[in-house]
Amino acid sequence: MSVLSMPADPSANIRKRRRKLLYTAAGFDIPFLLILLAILVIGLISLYSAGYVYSFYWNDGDSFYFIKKQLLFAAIGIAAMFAASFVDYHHWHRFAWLVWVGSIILLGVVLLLPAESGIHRWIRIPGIGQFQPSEVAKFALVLLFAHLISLNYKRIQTFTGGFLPLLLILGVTCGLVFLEPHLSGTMLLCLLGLVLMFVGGCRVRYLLGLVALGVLVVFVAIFVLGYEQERIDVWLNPLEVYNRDYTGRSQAWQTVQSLYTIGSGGLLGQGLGNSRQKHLFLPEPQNDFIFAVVCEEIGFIGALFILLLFALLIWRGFVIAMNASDKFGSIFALGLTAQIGIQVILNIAVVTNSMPNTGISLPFFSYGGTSLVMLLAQMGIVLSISRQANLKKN
Amino acid sequence: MAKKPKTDQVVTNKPSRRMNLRNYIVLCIMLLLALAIVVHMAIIQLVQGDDWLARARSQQMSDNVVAAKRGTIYDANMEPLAISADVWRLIMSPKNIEDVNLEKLPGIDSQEELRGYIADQLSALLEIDREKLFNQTGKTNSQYEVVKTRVEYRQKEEFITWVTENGLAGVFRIIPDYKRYYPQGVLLSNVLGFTGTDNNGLEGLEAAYDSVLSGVPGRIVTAQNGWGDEMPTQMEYSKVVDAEDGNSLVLSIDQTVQMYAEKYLEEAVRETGTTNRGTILIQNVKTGGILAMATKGDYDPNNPFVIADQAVADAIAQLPEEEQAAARTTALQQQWKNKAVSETYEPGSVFKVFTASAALEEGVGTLQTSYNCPGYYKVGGWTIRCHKAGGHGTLDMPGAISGSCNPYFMQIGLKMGAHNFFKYFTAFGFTEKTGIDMTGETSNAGLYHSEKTLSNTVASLATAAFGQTNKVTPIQMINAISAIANGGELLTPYVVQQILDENGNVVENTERTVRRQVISKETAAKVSDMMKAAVNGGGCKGAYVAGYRVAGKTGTSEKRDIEGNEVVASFAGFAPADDPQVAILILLDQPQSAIRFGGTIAAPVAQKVLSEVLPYLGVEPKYTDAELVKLSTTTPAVTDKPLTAAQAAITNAGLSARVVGKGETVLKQVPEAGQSVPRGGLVVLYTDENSIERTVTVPNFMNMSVAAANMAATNAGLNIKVSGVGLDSGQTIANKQSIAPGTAVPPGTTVTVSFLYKDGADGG
Repeated sequence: MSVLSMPADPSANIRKRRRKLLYTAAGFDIPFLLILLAILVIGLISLYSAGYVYSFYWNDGDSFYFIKKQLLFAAIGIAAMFAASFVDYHHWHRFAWLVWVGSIILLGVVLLLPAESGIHRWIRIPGIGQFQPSEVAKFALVLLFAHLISLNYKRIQTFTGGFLPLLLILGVTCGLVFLEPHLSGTMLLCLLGLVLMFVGGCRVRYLLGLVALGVLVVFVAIFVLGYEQERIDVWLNPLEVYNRDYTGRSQAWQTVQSLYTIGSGGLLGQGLGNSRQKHLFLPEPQNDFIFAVVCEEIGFIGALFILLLFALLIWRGFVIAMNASDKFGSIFALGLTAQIGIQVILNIAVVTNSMPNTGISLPFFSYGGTSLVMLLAQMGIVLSISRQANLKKN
Repeated sequence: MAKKPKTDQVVTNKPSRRMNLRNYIVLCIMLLLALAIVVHMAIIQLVQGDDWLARARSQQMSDNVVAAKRGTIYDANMEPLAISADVWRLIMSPKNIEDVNLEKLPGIDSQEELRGYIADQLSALLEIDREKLFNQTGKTNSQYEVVKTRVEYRQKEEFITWVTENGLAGVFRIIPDYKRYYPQGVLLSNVLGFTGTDNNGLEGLEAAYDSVLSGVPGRIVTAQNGWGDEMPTQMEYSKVVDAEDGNSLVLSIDQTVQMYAEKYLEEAVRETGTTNRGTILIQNVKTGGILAMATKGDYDPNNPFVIADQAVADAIAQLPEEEQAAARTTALQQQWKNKAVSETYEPGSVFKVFTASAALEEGVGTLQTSYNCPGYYKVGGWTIRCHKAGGHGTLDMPGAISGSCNPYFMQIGLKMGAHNFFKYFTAFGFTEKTGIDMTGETSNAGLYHSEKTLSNTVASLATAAFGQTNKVTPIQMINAISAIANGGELLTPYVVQQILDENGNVVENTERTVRRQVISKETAAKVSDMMKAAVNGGGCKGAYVAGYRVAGKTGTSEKRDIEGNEVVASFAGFAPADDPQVAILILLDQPQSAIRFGGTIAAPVAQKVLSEVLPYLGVEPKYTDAELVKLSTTTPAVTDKPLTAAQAAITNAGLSARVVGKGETVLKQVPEAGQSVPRGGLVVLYTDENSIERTVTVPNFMNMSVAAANMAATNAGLNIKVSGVGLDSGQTIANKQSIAPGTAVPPGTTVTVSFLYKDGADGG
């Protein structure tokens, strides 16, 4: 358990020194930061291009409304990120339970607040903005799991000592989000929890059992109880449903318009700024469906490039997790990175109709200030973890 | 590091190998999932891309057809007869009703109320059916509901104002269109035809020249956003394909000539109670171009689906309901039909000029060839009577034409034989369509005797020779008459002289087309002389026009193929005989008047029309001395002149003056200056205020002879204008007067009195 044990082989030491020089010039992981900033810049450009029409129509003719706010929050977020990167992440140990309990309270509060269009999702703080408690819950879950797994790593393979507490925490969190109702948030939390439990060392058979149970529940809900029939119908036969009733802003409308948008892009795209689908055809072009506009404007090649950047970011995050100086940092970095990865995959799966439509935003692209600030701050924590690992290595 | 964490023991807790292994597994699973989605994305973008793009484009582009302006139809003097005027189509997009901001519409709180509001207001504004409109507002899937077509400028402006005031600009739009107008109304309707709702030609020239007139519609493809609003044009999202306006037609038909033709034809049809319509054709004998072509009854091409004949419409209204639609259709088809080219008739005695031409050309007979007419002729076991009881006695050819003797032409027809007869029947174009540039020219195939029938049945040849049994179309007839008039050349008749492009450049000019020389110039001149003699003192004098040598032949053919004792009365001729300009054909089908000879009812129509048309066409009159005496003159202006000077001016004009009153100055003259009065007619000069009020009573001229009528007019202090007779005014009776008997009029007023020849019989 010696933390400070250095590699015995001097040549290996020199090799590591070289890598440190390349990767850790500023103390933290430079590639992670550069990839992240690249994604952020591209995301902001995409938001402006995809969102200005909606911005114009919904904000009294101000095409810049979305991008102005987003730029402001990006600046705040970057500041928050650097700040977080300098804070020793171990401080978070103390706040793990507190943050989680706080997030549960917020999830409870949002349920008590008046519903908007039948759902309880947002808490608005006058003068500051609005945020989703489920966003907080994601972070709280990652933090608490990292905290518990690192403390209980020896007993993690047991059912009652390892698996069950995590399952209960996950269950409570997901349950509240599910009640909002917020299907995509629930799904994201479940997947995130599963990944953390898996990497954290829970027995695979428990997890498989859990997955099997989940699949069974979903199966029964859809095929026996008949929930979400329309969503499934749209997923399997989007054009058929669309042609039956293309009037309202139905789910089929969203899905079909997204396919129109992506398909219009072809290999090279219509050119940046030239999307026509964003002209009030595609709903939420600045938000959940921003990637469809990206596909239309810069084509398959451009979209692939962006996905590649995300893949690099995730990969780098995982490397940081694996090289973390301790299990807490490792799980923490993994959770924060995996959160990005899962969200990207789900978002792109939705816009391409690879899975049933459920509202989920694309990290660093979709419009949303508080979410962006939180994401960047969390990336700051990942950087902090990489910084400490590098310091330890030094 | 700022501070050492409390949980020191955890810090030493490096990630285990298992954790890192599972990290890799998670990373791989995520990458695999991402890869699967990328594959799906590639399918959407690269494989199905074109299909999705096409679907997207179809919703992003609004594709509007721009109507091409249909070409104008002009008469020979570029007077427009059919024009396309700007109108608009009003389109509603019910889908956008849900997006309307109701705050701007006080008192309306729901979409449903808005629908009702739109239906109420617009149906009143546009005079359309409220229920239909209300139902249209409910079609919320639709972005294209036609509210009203062919809306004219003023209503369009009112509509725009209403839409703007109510903030409904997102729901309605207007599309420019054209509507066909026929500024002259019924004039030339059977020739012009009309267009349908989408401006396609349905009848007449509109149909025959549809491809020329219609042009090529354009398209405006504009980018629109998801709300159906047009995109800014600088985005280069719009594409405009201009409409190519249609070409215009310039007709050989002269509106003025047509107007005279229609006026007098209509009068004749009305007065004779003609039941199967009448037609008139005037042709330029030198070019073959038609100058006038009319059918009465006709219709108003501005409202072609209205039955123009009120009596017919009333009769249909009396029918059982289930029969009305069919009857209506039949009546409409009938009124649209251009009788001049679409119906056939037996020409009767008019045809004798062609038999004469054939006989002269083939040398079968000369002008001097004589036959005896005992009042009948026996042929093939039949006894066929002449119209003149007791017979004409011995006649030469001019006498036979003038007297319209049937036995003469039976005998000369039999002499020339079936071969020669049919040769000229064919040569004059009676067995083929004339090829006039119109739709609906009917073929008379099967309606005439073949050469074989004629040679097998002598009675057929004999009757055909004087114009019975064979049927021809009016256009064939006038074209053949023109051939005699122009020295024997059969031309192709036409109505479209030129085709102009949208800038007025001539695209096509119709040239004179000679089909063949039918008879020699000499023969044509001989026949022409005989026809001239027939009108000028002969049996066809009803068509006499002073100053112009009219040549012609009348005909009255029995309609033996229908029930009842019906006839077709006709006149065919040309003028002036010494230098023919125009040929004219008048045909009254089934006249119901007491006298229904062509010479009595058809020839006077020619007389009236020609007496107006020839001066209009600039044909100089050449009066004989006898004609000069009877010429009309124009009254000089003498009002406000001293009495003596006024009297002198009137005498110099060949008129006589009658003074009323005791003044020294003429205060008023009747007829007024510039009026046409007969030579030697009366001008009444009023010299004091008191006398002006005096009136005289118009006598009843009916059934008087010309001489008696003249005397009666003079006695009453009126001027008389004699109409309908030529130099030989014996055997005529007055049948119409322009001012009713008993009417009080100022002295000197001119009363036009029409006379009819009682002896207009023309033997078939």
